[in-house]
Amino acid sequence: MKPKILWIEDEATGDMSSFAGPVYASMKYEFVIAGNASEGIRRIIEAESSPFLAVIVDIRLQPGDTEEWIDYFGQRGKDPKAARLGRELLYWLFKHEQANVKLMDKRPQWIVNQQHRFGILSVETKEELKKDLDELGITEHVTKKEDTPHTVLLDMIKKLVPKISNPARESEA
Amino acid sequence: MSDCSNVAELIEKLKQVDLPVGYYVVEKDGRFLYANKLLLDLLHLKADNYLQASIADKYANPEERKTFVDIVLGAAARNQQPPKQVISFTVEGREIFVQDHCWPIYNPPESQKLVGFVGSLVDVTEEERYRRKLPVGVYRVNPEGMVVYVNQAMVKMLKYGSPEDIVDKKSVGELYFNPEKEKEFSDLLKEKGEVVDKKVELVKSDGQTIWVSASAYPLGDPKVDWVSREGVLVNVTVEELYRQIMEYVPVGLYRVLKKDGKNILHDCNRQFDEMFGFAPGTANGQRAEIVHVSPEDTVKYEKAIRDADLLGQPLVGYVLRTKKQDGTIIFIEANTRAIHKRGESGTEKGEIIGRIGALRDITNEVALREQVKEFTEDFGAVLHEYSSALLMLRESTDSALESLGQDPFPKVGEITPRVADQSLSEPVSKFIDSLIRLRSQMSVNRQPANLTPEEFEDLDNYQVLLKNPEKYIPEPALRLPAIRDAVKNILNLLDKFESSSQYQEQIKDVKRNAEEVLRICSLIYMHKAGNAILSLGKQVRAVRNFVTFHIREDRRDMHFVSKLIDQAVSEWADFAHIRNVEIKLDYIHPNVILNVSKDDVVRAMANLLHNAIKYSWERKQGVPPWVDIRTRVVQKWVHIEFEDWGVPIPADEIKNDVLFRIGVRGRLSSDRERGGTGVGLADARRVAQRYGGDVTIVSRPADSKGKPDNYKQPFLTTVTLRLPIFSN
Repeated sequence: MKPKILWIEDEATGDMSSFAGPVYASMKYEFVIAGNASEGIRRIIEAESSPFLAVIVDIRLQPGDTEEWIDYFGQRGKDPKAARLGRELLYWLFKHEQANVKLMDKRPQWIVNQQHRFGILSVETKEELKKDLDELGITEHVTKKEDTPHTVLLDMIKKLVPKISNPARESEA
Repeated sequence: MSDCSNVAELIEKLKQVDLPVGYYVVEKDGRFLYANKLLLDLLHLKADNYLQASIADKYANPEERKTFVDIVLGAAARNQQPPKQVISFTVEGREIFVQDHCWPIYNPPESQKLVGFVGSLVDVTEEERYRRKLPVGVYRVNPEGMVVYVNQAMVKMLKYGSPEDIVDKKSVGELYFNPEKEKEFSDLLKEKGEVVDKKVELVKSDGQTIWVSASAYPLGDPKVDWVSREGVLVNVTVEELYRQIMEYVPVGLYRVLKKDGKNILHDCNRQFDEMFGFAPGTANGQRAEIVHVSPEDTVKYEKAIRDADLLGQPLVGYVLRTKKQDGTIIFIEANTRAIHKRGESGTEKGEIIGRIGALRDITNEVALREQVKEFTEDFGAVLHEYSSALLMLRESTDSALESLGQDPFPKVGEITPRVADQSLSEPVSKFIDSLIRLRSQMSVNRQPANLTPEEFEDLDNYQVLLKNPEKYIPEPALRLPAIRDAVKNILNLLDKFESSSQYQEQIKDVKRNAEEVLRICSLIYMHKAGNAILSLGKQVRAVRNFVTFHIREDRRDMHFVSKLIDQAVSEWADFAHIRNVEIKLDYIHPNVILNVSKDDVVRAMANLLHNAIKYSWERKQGVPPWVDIRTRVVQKWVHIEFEDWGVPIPADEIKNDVLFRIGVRGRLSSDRERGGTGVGLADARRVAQRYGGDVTIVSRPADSKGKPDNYKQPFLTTVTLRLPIFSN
């Protein structure tokens, strides 16, 4: 069984599709894409019995079909830049009390103290997100720029699972 | 003063003349010594006993007799003719008013020994009643400052119940909100001999204040240290409140009137004074040109006022360069209306004799506008550079496409993931077959390939993926980058194979096939880039037009609406082709003419058409999507409708008008596959509103039975551009 990777990114099949190429091409991962915040949370919750080894999150996300996300998105002028739903998603997971979007109280157990499995791939710079990264305890962050290599996603995954030389075999073991 | 020193002699003389007025002689205490028949009739006195009566008994307010006598004696003391005074008498229970013109009688004549009075009485009841019913307050004050008469209008004005509540009970100072002001009024009266239309604040019985315009004249000689007076009051509270508000509104108000060929400032408010650095009240009387920077500015400004006046309108929003008294230049926004003389026929306007206006200091705004204009021009130039760069990029992609050899794809048009899959299918199969052949040969001959076990595993993985990409990559859009990467990675691994290998030919074959796969991938990417550049170029142009909207000249001309639509359609014909969307012109009124700026309206239409193309879905399998354009004429308006069948616009977005906010895109439309800047609708509405029109949106389920909140179904969206018809 291959290790599971989750990429929460609303442009995964659009402008960011080239980032997915190397991950698929490697054939080493069970690669799951969530196109919005609602789907991202759903995937994370459903992974209780089979957790993700790495989760890469974009900051500017669409809300999807969950009422709470839609409401919050609406309050922020339906502007992904202002709503920063990826940030809200991470706060709900790791700093529940500070989250602006109040989902159900029960969060998945597998994410507890697992910030090291999470990375952020967004247009925001590290400086812009420093406070949040510190608060959340997330260290892996890459800024999307015009010169970002198309292997960035795969590189991040490798960093997030550095001790697994052959993830597929490790996972099976 | 009577010439007769002897009262009896005077009476005898009076008896011998027959004057057509009532006249009398009384002792100094007012007791009658003589009255002619007219007077007896007037006062209803009887000839046989009137000598026992006193004229003072007839006074409606006996206190007034003293005031009357004082005034008469005061005048006599100054050798002046005593004034005629109107007195209220009560006769048979009825109030009458008489005008009493009376002289004192001294005996001997040159002495100060007063023995009586001789006078005439004229019945002025009718005139006085009219005066008392005037809708203005009328009052009289005695030399002690007590109010001795008020009319009903004044009683009502001051909210008292009756004249008796004031007369002899209130000093005039008590009626003033600030008694000091009463002294000022009185002093002014003494100094000027009359006071006309002086604004005074009085206090009503309920404690509230009232502003009146007071006019008064003295009874007696104002040069002496006491003055009784009579006057009228007009309630000007509302006007005064407005005037006070006008003093503090942040707008300079003024009036200019021509006098002896000069424009003279009048009625300048406090803000006007402050705006131009005058001491309070000192702008009035100055020449208007004192605030103008140059005679040319004055001429231009006055011409603008005349031009507006010819159209029957005030001059609005005129930016005038002016100067303060210290020479500082300030910019003001002038809103000015011409003042006319009355025309000769009495109805039409005569010549312009002045102007009235409101001024606003916009110096900071002008500076800001200049900055914005500069910034806008700079930004426009930057966007122009972008457009040029994009044009160059487009040429580069075209050139690159040509250099990539035979191109199986159409020059314009979107390459869908399905088409990409089909195009790659055969080259990828050939590549995999050649790779399998190579590896099987090597395996049979046990030829080392210089690869690590991990690299062998990678090679296996890539091979598995390329044999069946649909199985491992369910999302079609993601197959192309994965295939490209897998092939490139295999090529990298092939480089590690033994260079002296006996399988050079097979390796070359694999590489040749790999290059074909990568060539097709490159072609697809170059087409995508070319399309994206085309779309981006249009967006940059839209943003540039939007940003520079206000600094471009508004060039209006007559245009057939059909021609404007044709031009908008031609703007996006390529894009529609790329999207495989057909543009249908349903019914376009051929003769509707608009008086508009062609560039702006075509751009507005193009914006709406672009959206309609972007958000169109295929209505039937195998039938390309289409957009309908049609016009409707509603009274004096033409409605140009752009209708698509596809992406819904949620009801709340329409209701809250969010789509017209700059930079905002609908939540169901904000994917980058449908590029957009979020300025198109805002720009279109701004253009429409420049002509008094608007842009409106209706979006409803394409299936009339569909639930209006189910946004997964196709919606029929109609965006209407409404513009005024010049002629039809």
